Amino acid sequence: MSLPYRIPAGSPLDRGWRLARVAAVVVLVLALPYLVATFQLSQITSALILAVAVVGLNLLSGFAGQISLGHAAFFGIGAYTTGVMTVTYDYGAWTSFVVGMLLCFVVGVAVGLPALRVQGMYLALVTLAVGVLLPSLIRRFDDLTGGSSGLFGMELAPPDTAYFAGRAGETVWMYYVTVGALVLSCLVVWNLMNGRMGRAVVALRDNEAAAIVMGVNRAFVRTVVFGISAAIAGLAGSLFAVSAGVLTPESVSLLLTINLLVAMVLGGRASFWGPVFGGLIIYFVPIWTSDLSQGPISGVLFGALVIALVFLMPGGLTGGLTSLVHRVVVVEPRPPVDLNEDPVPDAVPPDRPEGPGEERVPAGHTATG
Amino acid sequence: MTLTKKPLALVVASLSALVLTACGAAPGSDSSSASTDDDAAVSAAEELGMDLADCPAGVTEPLPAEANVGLTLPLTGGPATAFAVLGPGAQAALEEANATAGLDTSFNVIQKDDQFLPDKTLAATQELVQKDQVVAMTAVVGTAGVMAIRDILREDCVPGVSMAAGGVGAIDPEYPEIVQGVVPFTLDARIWVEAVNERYPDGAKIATFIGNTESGKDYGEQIDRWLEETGSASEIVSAETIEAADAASPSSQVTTMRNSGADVLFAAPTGGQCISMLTEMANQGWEPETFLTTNCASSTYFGAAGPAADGVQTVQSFKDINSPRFAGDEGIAAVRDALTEYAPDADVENTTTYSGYFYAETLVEAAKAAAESDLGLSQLGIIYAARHLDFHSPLLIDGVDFTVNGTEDMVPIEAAELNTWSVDDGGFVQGELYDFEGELTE
Repeated sequence: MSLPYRIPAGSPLDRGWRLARVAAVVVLVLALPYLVATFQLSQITSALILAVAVVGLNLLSGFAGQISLGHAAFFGIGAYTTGVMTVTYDYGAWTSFVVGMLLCFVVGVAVGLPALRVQGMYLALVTLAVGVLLPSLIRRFDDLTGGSSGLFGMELAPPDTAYFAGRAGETVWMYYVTVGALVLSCLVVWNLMNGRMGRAVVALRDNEAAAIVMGVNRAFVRTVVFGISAAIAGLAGSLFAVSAGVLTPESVSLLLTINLLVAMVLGGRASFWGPVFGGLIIYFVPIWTSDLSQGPISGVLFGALVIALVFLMPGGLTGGLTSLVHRVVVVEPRPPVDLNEDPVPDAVPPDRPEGPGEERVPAGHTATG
Repeated sequence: MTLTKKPLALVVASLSALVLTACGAAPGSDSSSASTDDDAAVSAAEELGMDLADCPAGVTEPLPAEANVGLTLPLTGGPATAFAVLGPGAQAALEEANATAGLDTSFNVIQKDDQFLPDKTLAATQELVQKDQVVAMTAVVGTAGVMAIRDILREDCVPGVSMAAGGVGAIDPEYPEIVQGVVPFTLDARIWVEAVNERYPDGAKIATFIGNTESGKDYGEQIDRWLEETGSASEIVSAETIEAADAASPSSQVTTMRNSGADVLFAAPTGGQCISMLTEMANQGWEPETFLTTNCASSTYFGAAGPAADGVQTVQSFKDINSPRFAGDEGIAAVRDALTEYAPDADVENTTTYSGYFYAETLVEAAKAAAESDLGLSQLGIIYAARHLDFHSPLLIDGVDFTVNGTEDMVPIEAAELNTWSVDDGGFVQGELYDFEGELTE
């Protein structure tokens, strides 16, 4: 058998291949708590929380092509909403998650309004201002936020079962909640990008003038995408608050935005697996470099690794892995139907963009992504 | 992400699998807890408000022949410049103890980068406790970082001896495992207020210039506390703040304070802001009686400010290694020799290196005391000994001791000199020693 092995798209083998990959992910997710120590599961959870934030950023900057330097602010708004609501006002954590997401959506839409008029670096500067503003506001309203001293005591109480008892159980609970949030975020983005909205997002990104001429509502699409992206980042922030149990302004500083951007690029922008890989990279690589070389040199190692990854895998880790998989297995698309040979009039209405069962892959989406 | 056409079915399947697995105890959980008939251990735990049943098994057992001690400190990021040298200092003290203290346990230092972020401190400490099985932590930097990890230390009954955190969050009776290792901000504030009360019996107008940080918040609260508790006739007429990351000269704040007519300045900015504040005051010709935070109490900061620092007072409990007053000091020389021998990479000209040595030295003193006690050299022994430690480090000024007594006296360093910087002398001029031993615990 010569490689790569070719599978026709839509064939039972293709469906089996897809199902096998999904099953492998589900098994891995369920097995992880049994395979790693508690502290490692806690680290993985922290990395996945970052991944959730990167999913949000990826929607805006990866798919929609709008640079945001303020996503740490949305992360922070979600985090502090949960912190203030649960610690200061004694609300439930789940309620605070919803309120945090709604608040982030509203702020995201408000910040997205300038995106209707400015693009590129100018939009980046607008969002940068939001990112810089939040830590100062947190310090200023220290009666509410704990200021620089920090806000402590946030938690997401697990169900009252033996499985989630004790610190190990709480860690497992937080892990599953985070995985659930990540899946939910990915599904939202997936559904968004595979529908009318997704086509509008891609059209606006690739040729704004043409998209508007074709009837795309630029104001609606841009602001809603900004809002959803911010809400997902806010969800990540809420998860961070209950996972870490401590919040300080430094936790949501501009450095976090930079980390999220780096994670998006290293993972693979405009891909669906990219944020997951990116979150893991940005969390674990500094830990590993720090273990390899204690002292300031670990920062240099991390920087060198980032540069190497960018050059060796320009499509991010997702792109690199996709290339590797394609050396073994390639799913070949169905050949187009020759209408002259087998005309089927009225089989597909002319105004219908795709047939049932067919999925339109958004621009930038990789075969395995 | 490749999903099937029915993602909901997958989610349901996953949750079902989770429910099926959720029948036993959590993976990774360890239900074994300490149980002992040792009266000394039970009584020691009770005295500190600890319940041994909540501690893991082994907390009362003697430490192994080799044991790990954990440090979390910023090794990357901005604060690394100031704090990364703590590691070699701590390593030198523990290596020296291994060679000379005659303990049955040899200590190995493991340090983790926390980037000065409390959530990273938490993650690093979890790894140190669970993976590296550290028997104790020391020199964790920052009150917020210490507060982030104290629940883990309490749950695993791991002593956190001599933490580099000056805030009141590090002296909480609810957490007897944690012992502070720096000059507390409340001592700074108390001495400032006492000095003003002595010199201005009819009251003075005070301006405060405080960093918008965790320590700054403590300073503000403690200044108010001592003005009230000492019945001071003085009043705060101007309260200015500065962001920790603000590198610009604080000209507007100094102008506001000058215009308030204040006679006295209590200043607790952060790091290099000590220098820029003094320089700005000199530029504006404002010369109040100035008290500067103990965080800047070294010739590094005062020398850099030049003539602007002349006459400025600061609280000092530790010897300034670069001051002419301690040029021939035997204690500093001994520590420098230890640093050179046991941590060849240590920067022996940096004051912070000596701080790292002091933090670990305190842990060693607690270990020695534990080894000689009925509890022996165990984790509980170290916790109890550290909570009852009374020793004089060669790095502390004469008249200043490290003294704590259970949960009644939680503040270890409660005495200090109020010294004045002299440009002519090229160092600090020895001032009055204030001793509030046993008085600062709230």
